[in-house]
Amino acid sequence: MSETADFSKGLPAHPERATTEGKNKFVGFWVFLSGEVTMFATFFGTYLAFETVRLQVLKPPISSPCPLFLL
Amino acid sequence: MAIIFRIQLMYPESTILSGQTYNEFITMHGTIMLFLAATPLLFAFMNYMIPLQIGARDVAFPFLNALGFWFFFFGGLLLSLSWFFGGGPDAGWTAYVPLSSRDYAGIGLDFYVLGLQISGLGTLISGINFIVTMITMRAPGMTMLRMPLFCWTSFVTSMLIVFAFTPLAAGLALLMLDRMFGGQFFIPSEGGNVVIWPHIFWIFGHPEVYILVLPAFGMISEIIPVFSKKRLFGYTAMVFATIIIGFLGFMVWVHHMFTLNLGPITNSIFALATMIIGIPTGIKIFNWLFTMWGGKLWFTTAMLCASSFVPTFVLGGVTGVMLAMAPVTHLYHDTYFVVAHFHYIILGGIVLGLLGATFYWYPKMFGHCLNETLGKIMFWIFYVGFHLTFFVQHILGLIGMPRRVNVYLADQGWDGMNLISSIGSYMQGVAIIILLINVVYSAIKAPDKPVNDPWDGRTLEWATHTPVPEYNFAQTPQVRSLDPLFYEKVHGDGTMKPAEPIGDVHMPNGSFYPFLIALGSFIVGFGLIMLHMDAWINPYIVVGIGAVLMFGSMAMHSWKEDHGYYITKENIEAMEQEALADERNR
Repeated sequence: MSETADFSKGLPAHPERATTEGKNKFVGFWVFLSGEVTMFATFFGTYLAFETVRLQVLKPPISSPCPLFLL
Repeated sequence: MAIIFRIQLMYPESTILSGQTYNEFITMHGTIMLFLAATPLLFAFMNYMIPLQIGARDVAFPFLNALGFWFFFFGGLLLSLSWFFGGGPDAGWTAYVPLSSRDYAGIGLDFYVLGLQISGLGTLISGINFIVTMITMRAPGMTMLRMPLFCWTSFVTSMLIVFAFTPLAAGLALLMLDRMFGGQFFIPSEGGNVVIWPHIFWIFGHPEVYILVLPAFGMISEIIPVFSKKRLFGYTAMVFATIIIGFLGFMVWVHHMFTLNLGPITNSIFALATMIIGIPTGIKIFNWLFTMWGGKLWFTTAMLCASSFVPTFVLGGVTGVMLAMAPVTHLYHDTYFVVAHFHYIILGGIVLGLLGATFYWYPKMFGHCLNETLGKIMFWIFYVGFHLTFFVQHILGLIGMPRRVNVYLADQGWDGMNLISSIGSYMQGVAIIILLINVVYSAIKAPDKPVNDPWDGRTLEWATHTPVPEYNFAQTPQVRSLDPLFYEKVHGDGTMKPAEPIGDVHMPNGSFYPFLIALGSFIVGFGLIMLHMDAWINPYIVVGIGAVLMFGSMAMHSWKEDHGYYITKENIEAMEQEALADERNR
């Protein structure tokens, strides 16, 4: 668990990371954000896949045959 | 469920389960085993052992730890409730569209989608928690390359969870929109695309295999050195092999979709990537063998499980490489060969790892060992039963028996091997009953004084008292080497030296909010499922009640200042003296 921060001599350069609890929150938030990035990448990737298929179906000469998302 | 459908398949033309019930059984069997059995069992060990092995007092976020558990619990409960509201999901654990669309799958699939969404959230929260714990809370002197291998495999597993469960969450959200709100993402007749779902599912699904098997690798890597009386051969290579396996695990998902005809270039790339995984896995296999080579082997039940894991897993790996060959997969696909392959990985790998870890860490958790005689009887019945069940399934697959069929005819030549397979499954059931008997028997016969370090352990969890005090370590230990306790046994007086003076220890308060937040999510999920039921109450009222409970509890938790409490230095000193006196009297 966390220790109590001693700020009697003034604030450190990064007070939010001065205690273990602060470091935990700092690292945890970055890990959480990386998960969020992956989730939204999946949403955007799905949209791009739909667009790829739509372009192939509507305008076949534009793209070379890409069977990744076609049966 | 597995036993029941092995009874069904024991003889040709059996009529115990209808096709619909059989589909529901296999779907729930796969889903429960992967999401609600293997994952939480491994997480239970991670939760208990990671803080102890890195010399920490708890995980980084105790509140999130409880929240993760309750999300998992209520997600699992929601999924299981499907049996009472029109039947379980029936589209296979992969829920391929269009089988899982509203046109083909009943309300059970709604329970699947929302149950997995909620329990997946719990798994994700726990994964983040473990990553942070291992980055920030290691004891002084425990560098990353001094962490026990179980911690390393848990670390990589947690990373996989963060990057694999989030695509699943996105895919389930899209499937939920399709099924509940008339979405068209996966409905071809309305402009949707059915191939995107398998991509999303297997981007999650293949890393999920490593999410399960890597902690089992870690367990085996803890057990083999202790019972070989040697340090783990090639520790650094093992660490990097784990990282590479985790990385490559994201590069191979298309090998589950070779027969979807994605093109020769795509199939070749993914076939190659799949075969490359054999290299770091081979490093691990050889390192376990070299650890045992020349060691003073002590075949306890834990060691029997760990050492038998090696050849079993190799067999599963070899059939995996066979399945990685895209052209040949057209012959194997959807046959019992695939079923045999992944059961060799999951049962022969993960379950043997879990059984070994149970026998190895049981004395640390409960203060007494499990009975070794009963343990060895259990092991041999399980091991023979396992091979009887699944080895013949390779041959069944090669001679053409498809998976997911509830009945076959007498003249197809599959009778004898199905009979053997079913008998093997009953043996496994008997072995698990013996394990449960062993738990009760060992508790009754347990000595009055708990055992502290029965295996001559090497890592930090064996350095603290048994039963483990709530603060884990009175003083954070100073780590001087890999296998820190063994180092102190050889170079010191056998005890860990403290890295800090004894002082008050900060502890978290208990809280009802994790339970209430997860309960709220469960009510929201059930309300959404009610949209397609003949409900006596407006489903949106139920959703609203759940949302108020969930977000209200989150708000209350955020506004309430909770600084935990301290165990005073005097109390800790008294508890430590009592524990030491107790140990001297053993």
